[in-house]
Amino acid sequence: MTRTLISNGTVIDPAQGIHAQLDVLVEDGRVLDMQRTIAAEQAAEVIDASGLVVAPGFVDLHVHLREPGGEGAETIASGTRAAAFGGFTTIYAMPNTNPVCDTQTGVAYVLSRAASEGLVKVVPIAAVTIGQQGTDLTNLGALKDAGAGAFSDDGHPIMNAEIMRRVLEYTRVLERPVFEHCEDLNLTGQGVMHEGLVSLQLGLKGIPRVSESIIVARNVALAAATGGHIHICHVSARESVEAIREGKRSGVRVTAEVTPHHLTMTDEAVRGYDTHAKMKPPLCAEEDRLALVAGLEDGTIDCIATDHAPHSSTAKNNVFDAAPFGIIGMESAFPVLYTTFVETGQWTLDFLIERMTNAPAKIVDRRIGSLQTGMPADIVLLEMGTEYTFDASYIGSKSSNCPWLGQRLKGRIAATMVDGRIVHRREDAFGGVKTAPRKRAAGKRK
Amino acid sequence: MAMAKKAVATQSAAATLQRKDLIAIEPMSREELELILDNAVGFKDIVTRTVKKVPTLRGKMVVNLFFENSTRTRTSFEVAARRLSADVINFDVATSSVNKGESLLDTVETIEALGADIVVIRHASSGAQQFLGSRVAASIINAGDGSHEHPTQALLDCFTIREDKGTLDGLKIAIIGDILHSRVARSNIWAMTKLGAKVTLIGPPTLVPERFRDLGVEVCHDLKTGLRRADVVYTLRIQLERQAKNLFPSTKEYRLLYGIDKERLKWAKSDALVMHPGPANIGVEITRDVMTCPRSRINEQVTNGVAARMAVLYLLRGGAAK
Repeated sequence: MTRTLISNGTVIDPAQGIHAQLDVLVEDGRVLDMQRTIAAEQAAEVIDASGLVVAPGFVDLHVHLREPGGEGAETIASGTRAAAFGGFTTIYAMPNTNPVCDTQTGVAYVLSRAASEGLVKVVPIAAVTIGQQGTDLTNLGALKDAGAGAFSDDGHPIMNAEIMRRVLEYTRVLERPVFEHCEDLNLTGQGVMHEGLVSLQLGLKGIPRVSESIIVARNVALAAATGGHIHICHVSARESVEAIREGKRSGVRVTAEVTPHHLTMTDEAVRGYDTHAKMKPPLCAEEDRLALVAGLEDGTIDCIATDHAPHSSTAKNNVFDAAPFGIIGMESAFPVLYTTFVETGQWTLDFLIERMTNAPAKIVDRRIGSLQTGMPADIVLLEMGTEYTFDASYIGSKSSNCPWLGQRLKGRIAATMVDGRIVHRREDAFGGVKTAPRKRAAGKRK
Repeated sequence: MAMAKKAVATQSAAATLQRKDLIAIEPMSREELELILDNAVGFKDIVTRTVKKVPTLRGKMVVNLFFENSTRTRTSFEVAARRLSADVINFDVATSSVNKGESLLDTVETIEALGADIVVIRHASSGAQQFLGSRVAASIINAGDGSHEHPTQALLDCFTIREDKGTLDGLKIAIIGDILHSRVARSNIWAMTKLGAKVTLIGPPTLVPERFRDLGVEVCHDLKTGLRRADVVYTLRIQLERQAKNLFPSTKEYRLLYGIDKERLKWAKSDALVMHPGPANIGVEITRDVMTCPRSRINEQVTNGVAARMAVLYLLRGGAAK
């Protein structure tokens, strides 16, 4: 029996509606108790969280770990290190590895590598169709039994509506959502960025917004027809937000996620042919960004997911057309969103934490994302007082394809705990604010 | 003639471009464009005289690196560089290690290590020259990047118009064709509007999206309306592979709606100039008789291409800036 006490922090646990100065006692990897004051003698180890916010570890429903097959860019070890650096304690790993995670063996491989090498919890997402080819269903029930937490052909949208219909019908009884990267491949063609004024000026082939929204609307309609649970990955276009909103209004089992980059950047970032602004779906226009923010705020979009997509610097240091799509996102997610939305007063810190913990958990697994007694002690300690340069020391990934490197940000991860064990700790984020008043650390910014 | 004298005077004032590379017209000022055009006047005198060579770039190395085939533009740059006494290397991409997976950046760094002062590059990817320009010390001249820009084409086109009309200020210039995929059109839109012309783009909505209006030009889908009161009729080469992507139904339909022939030329001003960047699909976007009519400046464009490129080479490396 080992006990750890996290003392003097401000606990924010949106699932329980808690925002208060509380001590947290952890025993054998689980939350044992939360009280105004817990005597230090009760614990073998005491973590002084003075001036820090204590929150449930973040949950990321959309991560690419690249192993097996893409170990040059990321491994399960390095990807979970990136997660720990970013405060994520449970991450859902997309199956577009090589080979594709479409068998029980594939699921078991990810789980066993995560168990031996991983710093945080990894839940494999299994492919919907064999080889993500969009034609033949995988053994979805067996994959669930092997440990798959969701199904997705991410990166390879299912173009055939009949197949998607069957998938949603079939998975209804499995109680596992289908995560879809919504994109009409014909409309996208060879497009490399959002189709708009910037693509026109840069002479880059555009991807029209309707390329995403037409498949979102189709999937909402299929979920309505089948009763299946469709989860829309990385929403980017305002028409998609509208289609999801309509679906939710009429009771369809549709959930959605949005990435930090779509919430904070637009196609203007592509000027200069910056390959760190090349991703799928592409960064759209300001009106789309505003629709995404509004959608997240009103609950149309359930949660934040990073679409952490590591690529080697050689691959990204290239002409725009030739560079791969995607950026890493776990390390920067909280700082970027905190700086953009909480520091400016648009969101409360509670709202941001809710969208990164309880909200994604509700989509996949209600046993995570909160600090209720008896739940796993997956905890993040957050420090908000310091403005700092987001440099390489904040990156845990094997790759560094991150557009925010070098930027001044606020809000960072002081420590990450998984099952009661510290897996990441940043000394310079501790102790700097020891004299802070013992109340409402989150409210006393500025 | 008065024009030419004024230009030569400007040239001797030793003004130079304050840039390492020539990547795009978009970020350039009207003054920079006029500096190049004024210098081109003097270089055209050289090109048309008996001894067609000056020592301006003696000892400098110009490398032509064309990842897309273009005999015309490459030859024009080569002639321009030789007239300025530069050493010219044509780097043969087809037989080089570029096709063995060597990266673009490696290739250009190798060329730079061989002593290149100026690298003239054509590449199928928009932004390739900007990517390279910020990573190597040699001057990069963009000879066409994807659908983005082809700045020296715009310079020679504006030079050709100015030579005839004296100025671009207030002129109406109609550009007809596949604007969406045209680097020639983009560079010309920027250059012509900066120099005071009013530009009208003509073509079907699939090739001329309305959004081009945001660049400060008119968009017109009807040829007759678009050509009204035009001082310059600038036809673009229609890329036949666009037809395969259903951006227009057929060359026959294109000719019917947007092809320029003698009768349709009358829709423009009676003294309107006819221009084409070449090579033309004769009988599709333009008929042979229009190409060879007295108002055609198509051959003049080729001649002026050498002068305009000499001016660019001179101002980037032959100037006092280095």
